[in-house]
Amino acid sequence: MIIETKVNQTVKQNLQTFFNNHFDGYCVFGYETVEKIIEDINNGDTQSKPIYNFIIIGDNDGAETSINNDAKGYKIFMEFAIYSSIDSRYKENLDRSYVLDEITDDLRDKFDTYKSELPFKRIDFSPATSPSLGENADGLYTVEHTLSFWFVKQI
Amino acid sequence: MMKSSIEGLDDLVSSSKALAPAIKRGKREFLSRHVVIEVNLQGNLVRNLMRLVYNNSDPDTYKRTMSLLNSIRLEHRANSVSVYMDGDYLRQASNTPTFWETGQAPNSKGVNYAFHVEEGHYYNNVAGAGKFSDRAVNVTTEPRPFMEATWQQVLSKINPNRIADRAVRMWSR
Repeated sequence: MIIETKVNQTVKQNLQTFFNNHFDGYCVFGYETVEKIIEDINNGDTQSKPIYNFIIIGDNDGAETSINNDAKGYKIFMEFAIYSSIDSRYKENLDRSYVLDEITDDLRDKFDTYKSELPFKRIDFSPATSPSLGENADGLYTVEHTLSFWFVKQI
Repeated sequence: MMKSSIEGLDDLVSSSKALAPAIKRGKREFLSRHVVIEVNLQGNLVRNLMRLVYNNSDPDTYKRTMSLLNSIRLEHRANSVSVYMDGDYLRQASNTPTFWETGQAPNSKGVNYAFHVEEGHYYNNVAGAGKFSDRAVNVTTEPRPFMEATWQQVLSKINPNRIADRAVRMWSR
């Protein structure tokens, strides 16, 4: 993967802010953090809520572009797989697949409504790119989605 | 005197001369743009490994999968793009003890560690026989599910006609 750490960090911060503003769940970047949250939930240190895990599955530099008369930049394309997970305690009275469907609908609606708040272009959210993944070793039930967008990095 | 002429011959000759560079450039773009970016060879592999993590009841899945994820390398040569797992990295990352009697990739007879991870592999031996003895047998089964799934996805997405795109566009001008 070619993307610079600094750029990567900015993108993550933007996505984190977006999720904190519109979702009642945990927005993380890597399964290590998912495991840590599960541990905290098990210890009673935090509440069971949906966990959204963002994994970079594609990034590349695109064409050079003008930002304004004085500045130039280049387009960067990024693609994430988002794994939205719940454990058996979140909305425990309801069927897991029903709750996962609810979360998927919520993601779609929020991206449709608020995506203009993100500093990215051509944001494309594709819900449920895999069938529901069964209960894993950490007790998580998961659905995978895909998010892609462009942004411009100043040279 | 008789003279025949072909209308547009000069254009045809000049187009023919430009055909070889166009195909060469098309081949380059096919690999660097179509296979690497559009088909997203590496991304497909990452996604299939993550699906394994989210779908497996073995508590060590993530620990082992993380090494697989970190070992993914993409190599772009003149005529090929390879996505593979770095055997040296995997060997260093492995905590699996090696046994002479039986085992999986780390126990293989010292050949191509990454190949044995990517392919289903186990190692059979007669107890007490040395690792390199004739009684030590490497058995390779069908590819691991994440490799097989990635391969099938990549096959369904690759469009070989894209190699000729530039040449066709140039010719039709």
